Amino acid sequence: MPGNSHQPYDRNIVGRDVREVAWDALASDPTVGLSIVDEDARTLFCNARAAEYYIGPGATPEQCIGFGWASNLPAKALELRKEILGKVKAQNGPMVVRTILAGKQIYAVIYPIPSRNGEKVQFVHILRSVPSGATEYFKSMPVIETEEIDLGPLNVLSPRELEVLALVGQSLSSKEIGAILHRSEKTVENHRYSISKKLEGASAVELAAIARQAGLTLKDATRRPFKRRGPSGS
Amino acid sequence: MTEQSHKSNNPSLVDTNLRAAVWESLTLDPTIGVAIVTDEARTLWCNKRQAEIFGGDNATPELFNGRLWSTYFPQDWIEERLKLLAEVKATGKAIVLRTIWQGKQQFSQIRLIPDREDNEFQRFLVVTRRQPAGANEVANRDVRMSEVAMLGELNSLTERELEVLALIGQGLTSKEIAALLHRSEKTIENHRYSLSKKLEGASAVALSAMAAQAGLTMDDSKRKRV
Repeated sequence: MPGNSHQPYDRNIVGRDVREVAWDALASDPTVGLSIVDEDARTLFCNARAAEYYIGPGATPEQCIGFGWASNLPAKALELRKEILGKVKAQNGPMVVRTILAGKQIYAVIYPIPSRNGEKVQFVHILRSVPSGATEYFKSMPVIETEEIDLGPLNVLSPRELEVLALVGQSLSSKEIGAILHRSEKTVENHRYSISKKLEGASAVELAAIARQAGLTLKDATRRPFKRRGPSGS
Repeated sequence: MTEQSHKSNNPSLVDTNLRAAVWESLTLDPTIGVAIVTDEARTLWCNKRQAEIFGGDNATPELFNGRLWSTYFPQDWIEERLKLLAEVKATGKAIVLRTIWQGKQQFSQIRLIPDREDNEFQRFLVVTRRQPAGANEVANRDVRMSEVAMLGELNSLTERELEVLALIGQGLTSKEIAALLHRSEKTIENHRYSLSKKLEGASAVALSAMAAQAGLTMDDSKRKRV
């Protein structure tokens, strides 16, 4: 195939061999979580990154595979997941879920796998952490936000402190934050001091980075935080 | 997880239907770039996200599909990648490559697609994702660092300013940065002022966001800019 001429796209390029390699690539990707889940919200397969999202940093796929999500999610969150799986099955098309896991904003795109001879439908989940500022990639798809969030290290903050942190993440000054929350600048300064103390003396710059990774919004401050068992099962 | 284990654990799980669904989800995903490339430095096929990551927000797959890389990419960038493709072909093992492109940190997994030996070219699958510092820890994995970088809006900065920006991104104060770089605090303050001026008056927090997006490290200040 010499020269610089334009080669037209050949559909045969994407054969079965390519799909096999794609599976290997996704299953081993360090930045993307991949899992296969059945209609009962049981994990049939997950890669290392997905295990860390599902259970916590340091978790391995062996701790997820074969287990139902009930062991790891509050009842209401589980109910919502099953509802979403039902919708994905009914419309036979993907849906997007936004949540916070271990203090990081996660977007999961859920795709249906066509069932073989009446077997139960399975679902591909592709998960990735998306800091605020990168969420516009999902603007073309309807996104369902979960009310249950796992704030991880941010769990020590009060709802008011979470609000302040969300606005710190938007690079706002204490004065601007005070105006938005109808509090004095001094009160906001006190909140910032208290947040920083609870988060091991994080600087303003570090606090903003923490808020961005969590994709923290004002709404998140009033959502239902939950704690997970963690990889040790303790 | 090793590659072998997910295959042998679930021989029946990974069937044709599943592979087709995974392929579709991978190529339709709004954050994941997918490309099939050859060792003649050509992109045979890519998805929309891949085109946007490499060609900018309005780029479409048609710009790249079937074309040689020399149409769009600098020679140094091409040569580095051809070497990696040759290595993946020789060893059969996938490589994860970290690059700063358009001022953003990205990770590309390069993987061999089995081809017949008498084929005139060898195909590879490349899966690329932008990932800022702190989003996931990939440091403990075997990641290659690209020696060429396209710094985008950070290209106006000097080597020294890039170093300072990398340290701002780690949340360090001017005093701490001064100690690390063996300069006075006053000199660092001057660098910060100049940085901020070049980057349209960005605040300390905005500067740290840019550093995080680029995943900027001290080493990056010395990489070859393309």
